[in-house]
Amino acid sequence: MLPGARLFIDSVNLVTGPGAASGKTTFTRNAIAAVHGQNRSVAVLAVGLEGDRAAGVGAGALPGIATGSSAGFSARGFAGAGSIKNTLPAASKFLFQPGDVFMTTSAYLEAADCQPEILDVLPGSSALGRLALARARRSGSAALVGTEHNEYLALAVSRILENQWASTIFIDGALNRITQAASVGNAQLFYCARVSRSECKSLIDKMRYLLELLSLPLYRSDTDRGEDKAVFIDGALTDSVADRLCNIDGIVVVRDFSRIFLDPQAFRRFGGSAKICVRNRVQFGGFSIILRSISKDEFEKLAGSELTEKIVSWNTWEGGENQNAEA
Amino acid sequence: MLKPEKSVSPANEASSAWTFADMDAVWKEFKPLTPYGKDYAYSRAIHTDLSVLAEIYNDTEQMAKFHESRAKTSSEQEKLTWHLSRIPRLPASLDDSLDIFLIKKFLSNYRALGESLDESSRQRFGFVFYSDALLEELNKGGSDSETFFIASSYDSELEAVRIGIKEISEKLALNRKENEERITRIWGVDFKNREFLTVPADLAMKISAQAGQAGYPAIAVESFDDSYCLIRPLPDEAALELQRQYAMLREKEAIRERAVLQRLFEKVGAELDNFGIYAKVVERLDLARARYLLKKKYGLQKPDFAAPIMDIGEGRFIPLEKECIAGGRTYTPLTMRSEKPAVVLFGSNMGGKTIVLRTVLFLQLMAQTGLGVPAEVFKTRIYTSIRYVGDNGQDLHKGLSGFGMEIHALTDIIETARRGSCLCAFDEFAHSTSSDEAEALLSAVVAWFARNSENRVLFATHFRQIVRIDGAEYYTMAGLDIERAEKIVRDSLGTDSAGKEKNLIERIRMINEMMRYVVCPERSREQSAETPSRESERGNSSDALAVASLLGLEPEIIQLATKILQEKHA
Repeated sequence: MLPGARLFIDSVNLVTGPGAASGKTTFTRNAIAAVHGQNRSVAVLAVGLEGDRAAGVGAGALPGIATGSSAGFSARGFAGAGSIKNTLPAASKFLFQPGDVFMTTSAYLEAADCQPEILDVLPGSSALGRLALARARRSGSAALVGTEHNEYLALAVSRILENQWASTIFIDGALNRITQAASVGNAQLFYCARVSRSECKSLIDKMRYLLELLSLPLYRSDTDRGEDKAVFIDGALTDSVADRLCNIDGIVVVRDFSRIFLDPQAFRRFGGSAKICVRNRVQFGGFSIILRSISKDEFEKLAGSELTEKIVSWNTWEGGENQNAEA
Repeated sequence: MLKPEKSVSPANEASSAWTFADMDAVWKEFKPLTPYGKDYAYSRAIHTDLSVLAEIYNDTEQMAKFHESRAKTSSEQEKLTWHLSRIPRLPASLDDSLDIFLIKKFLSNYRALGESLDESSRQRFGFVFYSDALLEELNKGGSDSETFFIASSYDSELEAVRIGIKEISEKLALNRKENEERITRIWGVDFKNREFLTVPADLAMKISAQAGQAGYPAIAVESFDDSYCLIRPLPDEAALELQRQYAMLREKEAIRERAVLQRLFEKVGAELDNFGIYAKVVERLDLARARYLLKKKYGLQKPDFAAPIMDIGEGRFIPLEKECIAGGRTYTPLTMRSEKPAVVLFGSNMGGKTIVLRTVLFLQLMAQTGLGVPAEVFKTRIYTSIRYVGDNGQDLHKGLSGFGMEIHALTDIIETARRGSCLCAFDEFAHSTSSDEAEALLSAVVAWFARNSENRVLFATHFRQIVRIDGAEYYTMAGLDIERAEKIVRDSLGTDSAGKEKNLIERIRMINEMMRYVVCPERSREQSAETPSRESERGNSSDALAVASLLGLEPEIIQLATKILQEKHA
């Protein structure tokens, strides 16, 4: 089942998943296709040029794409007359429609097929050059390159929204890299995972734990301030921090759910004594699950209705039946 | 120009004064909008050139006039703020189209800045714009004045190539759509524009057997898991030919784009000198605006740098003033006049000596950063070195005690002061050594600094026995209101249990209320003898016992200490 456009329109959509080939890029592409189907433009950002994208679904399925050679540009513009080939993992290349906005770098901008219009240059740079926000002026592809810095990602999101370059934003990246962007209003998290029979129980536990973390209450300075025992943790809530605070019976406030580095057992133990709150709450959009060597019925039975009702996309790679979703 | 670094560094001579005066409390509110202004703010520049400071204050004055004359048309002010906030940093070199974008965005907003200013402001800030033709050229590419792309209008060949690319793209899209429709018709699989799919293994086997045969589309098949295979459509002959043509046209497009960019680089390169002028104007405007906003907020005044003396009237130490207001306490501004190069300040414990030093350094730093001073009168001169010696929470040098650090700093300051033009504050100098030696040392240090009228050095100390010399001035803080303090001390001694119940904040508030934070000239012994007063009867008192009592010290200890003191003086 492919995701429907309504899920994503006018939201900042954070698409994440554990490790390589969890299907998050495919999910994002399908989501973008759904939004395009409603004649709406999108903005697409990433965190870093992800290493796991190169892994893909096997080398045969995701061949490298040569960029830059046709343009005859060097990575630094006219510095050299010869051409270079920047081989990108295919998953970092997205097909854009006119009006779509994306983040890339100077090196890849010139190789983009979509006749990019530069909208902004972001502070800092990646290993692949300066980061820029660009808008496609014609249908075509461009390499998506993300920032290594969370704060620049948040900055890019706010620039896109403030300038009304797009109202539907997709961010493709690792869980611990996107939470700054999540603090922007209307942000929602999608969690993509590929699961085989042997990993099924472990994934279901992860999904339950993620929902538990995402449902942590928001710290409200007006009502919760009265509790003198509130402890604010600027970094991560790790095992050692939890040990130090084990006797606390007040509120422990973390920046957001992604700053909790406890395993589920330790988290529940710690939560038994302290009330854990977050300063930024991230809305949950849903799960995208790709099944491998296990049937949907079997997975649903093991996961239970509480989890399966949160699944918005099944087997995004699957052809045949059950591909369609409501717009 | 002195430049204290962001972090306190003993190697950086002004940083200790900056920290001691809590300058960052105000500096953090100094918020330029452009990269140039932000660089300046980050540098925390302390100016030592009178002509530079005069320009800075005149710029702020002009910005004030601009804002005040446009008070009824705030849109002009908003325009100024808007365009400043959108000015990017000009690129250091021309490498690619991002640099052209940055230049276009800069020029576009820079020209708009000029349009939002009145004539006198344009003149004051040296606003000029020689780049109309260049901006017009850059404006050919972009949906608006702040975006950039290499438009077809730059190059007729580029336009022809892009028309070709569009046609081939449409044909490729049609080819792909027809191919997908055939696949759907034949095998019931709908790709929906996806690059690959997984299908049940039995269907994949069927596809594998038929794909590429006459009448069947070509499809690549790979295994996925025990039940599914991965399939991916392959381009037919027509699609391959279209892709080849597309690649050729893209190559041509890139060559033409490169030629356009090269021409733009040349045009931009011819105006690099102008950009330098524009960047300076932007920085001046930006800083003047940021300074004006602070001036307006805190009522900052232009100091008088031509005075041989230091004259402060109602000078406010803003960080403390804010703290007092927040805590519901009364803040007393500083009024003080100093004509001699060395100034010694005595006073009660908690009587405000240190605050006087901090206020003086704060006002001087505010003056020399060009922000202006929160004072009704501030007559001073420009100092090329502004220093502080005392406890500043600094890391001690390895092997040096607190006293050792003071001597190390003193040695350094003496070298600076030999050249003159040094403002320095010593807080409780030598307090950690024996009082006899400390008084001797302090007397000698005061005498040394008193010789050079180009310097101004302030000492806050409890050592009342230091030698008085002509080249120095001696002041004392007014200290505790004796009548009130004695009553409270008596009450406190009598009802110690009630006294103990007061928490520290309440006690400090109480001391603040009875403390008179006023700097007075020290009464000479002759004056005290001629007109005895309650004050003179206190002799060399630092009100230590009274303050200790007010802070809740055990009454028995206070009584015993009082007795010992009385016996000693008797």
